[in-house]
Amino acid sequence: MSAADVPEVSIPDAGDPVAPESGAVPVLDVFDLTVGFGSAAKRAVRRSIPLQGIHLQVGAGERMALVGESGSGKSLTAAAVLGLLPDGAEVIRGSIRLDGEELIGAPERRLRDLRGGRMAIMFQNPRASLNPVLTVGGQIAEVIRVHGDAGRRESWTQAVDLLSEMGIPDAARRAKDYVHQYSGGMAQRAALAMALSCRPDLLIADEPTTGLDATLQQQVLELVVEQVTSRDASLLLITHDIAVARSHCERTTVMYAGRVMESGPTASVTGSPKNPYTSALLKAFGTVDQRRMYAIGGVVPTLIGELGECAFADRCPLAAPECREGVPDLRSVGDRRVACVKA
Amino acid sequence: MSVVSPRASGSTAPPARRRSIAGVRPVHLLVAVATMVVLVVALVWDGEWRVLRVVLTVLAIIVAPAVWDPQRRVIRPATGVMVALILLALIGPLFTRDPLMLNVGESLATPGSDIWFGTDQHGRDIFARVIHGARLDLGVGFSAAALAVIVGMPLGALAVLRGGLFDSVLLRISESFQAFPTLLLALGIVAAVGPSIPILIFIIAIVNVPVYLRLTRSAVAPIVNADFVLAARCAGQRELTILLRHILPNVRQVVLAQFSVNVAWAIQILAALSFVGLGVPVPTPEWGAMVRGGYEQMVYGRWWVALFPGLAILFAVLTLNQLSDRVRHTT
Repeated sequence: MSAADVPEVSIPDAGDPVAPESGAVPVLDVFDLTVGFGSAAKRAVRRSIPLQGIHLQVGAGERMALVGESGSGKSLTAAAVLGLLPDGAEVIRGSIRLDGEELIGAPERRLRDLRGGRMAIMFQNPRASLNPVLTVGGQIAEVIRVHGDAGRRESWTQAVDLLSEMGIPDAARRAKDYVHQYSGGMAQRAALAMALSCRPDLLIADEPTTGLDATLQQQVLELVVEQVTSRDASLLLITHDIAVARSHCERTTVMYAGRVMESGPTASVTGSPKNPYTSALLKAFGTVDQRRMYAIGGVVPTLIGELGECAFADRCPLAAPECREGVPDLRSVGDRRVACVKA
Repeated sequence: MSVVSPRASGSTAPPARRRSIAGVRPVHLLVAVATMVVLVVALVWDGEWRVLRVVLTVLAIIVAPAVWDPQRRVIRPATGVMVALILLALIGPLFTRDPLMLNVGESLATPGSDIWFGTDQHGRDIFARVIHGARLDLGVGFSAAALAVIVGMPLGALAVLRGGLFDSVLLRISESFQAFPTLLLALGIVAAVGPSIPILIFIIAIVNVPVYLRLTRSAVAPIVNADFVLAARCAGQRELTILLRHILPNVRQVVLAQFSVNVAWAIQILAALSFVGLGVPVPTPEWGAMVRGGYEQMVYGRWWVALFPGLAILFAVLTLNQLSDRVRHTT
């Protein structure tokens, strides 16, 4: 990614310190993505801007965690990537590239081919994301048929193979079952099988373990990582659990109020955060021996209109007058990028 | 990172991707359209009861999930009776006497071991007429209800998907249909084009379209934004596929339950129309018309003329209602 690609907006540093292999095209490249709700007529005054200038890159075979509290815009970013923004939302500016191909403004036909084909998603609630009146195997086989020219029998065999790869015992028989006959963990395995059925380059996992108990969470996450790695795919793992990011992803992006606060290798972002928000988040995550749980003071700012200052300024312990002079750029600092004037 | 880029390994990816096309195969649509065309053409140009046989067979397939319980691997009991009734209507007439044959010498014979249900004032065998009437009444009932489903169900789903003006216009039209008295509508149409079986099916279907439209609409509305619909969209499925494969099958149960009640209702309407003289043309054996022909005889103590066709209506309607109950509770 270089600044020359998108001349309208200038990015402070053209050289990208976080690209895994310099020169390689990232699998997913989100640049200055800004999404607004409400009509353009109300722009700037009453319009809600849930995503403001999101920068996000996921390299080939890389596992990236997208961390942030509820409402920070993690899932909306995923929806924008898939081209399935909710009604009323629209991309105001920015670009989203999948393997170098621009997705914003791409025809619906093309997006449909990419969805499920080159990028796939698995959701929070696996039971709800599988159709109750179709067999699990049938649904997976259907996706395989949509994106290829496998026949009925062939796609069914592939679906059964996928299910057994995902660790579903007696897959040939269980493929004929309906979702209500599956346990939560199995349903999530089936959802993973469906997402990976067409060998996507990018898997987006939107809080895939929220509905599962602790032991299953670990198992499912390990399975996701293992399967994604064995398929040379990239993973964008959306989570609000920093521990999950720490143990499963090599890179982490921290979001707050619709902006990227910090992005870089997981070890350094969570080990020595440079953005005060990241430190506060880590502190709030807490430890067993803490006597009182730490909570960040204040509230998340409203997202009406484009905020002309650092979104965290009101709650930041290090806030200074210069924090309010403009939106802090996402600058390269050492091995990562930080949106903080103090970093 | 030592991982190979997926782009680099792109050549090993299945070539299928490039040619990924529709979810619904054109074949499916073709079959559906062809079925409807055959149905309509056959209904309009009906010589011998062939059409009704086709319609009944097609419907038997549609109703299959209500008949067969895959979990317990048994035929559902209420349905067994229905199937028996349908079979009776289909092949029963082959084994009875001619329902149209006049025999004035034996008019108004009492039911006995020889003539089971007795004869009417023209000496026609009532048993034969009841069995032949089953074919007509069930046939008209099923095809009218089926026509209503075929039109009403997609419209209802479309109303939800399109929403806005389309939805409200469709609803107002369906309301105006519902507000219109059925018999009055039938009277008008029959007076204009004359009574015939296709016209009767058409009338009964038209009156029922709004029922399915509203039913489907209210059943589709809560699931149109369900996670699995979103998941299907995320998997790159086309909107039409999502509608046909993911949304409508979830609505099937309510529609099926309504369907069998509706067939019963259609039989009643047909009987009512025949009773007031707007139904099938005269010598045709039809339950409602037979009751009409027999009720004058009641006064003179000849109860059998109206009783047996009346019982047939009761039995068919009860069975269908039972079936509907079954479907609602077990599917």
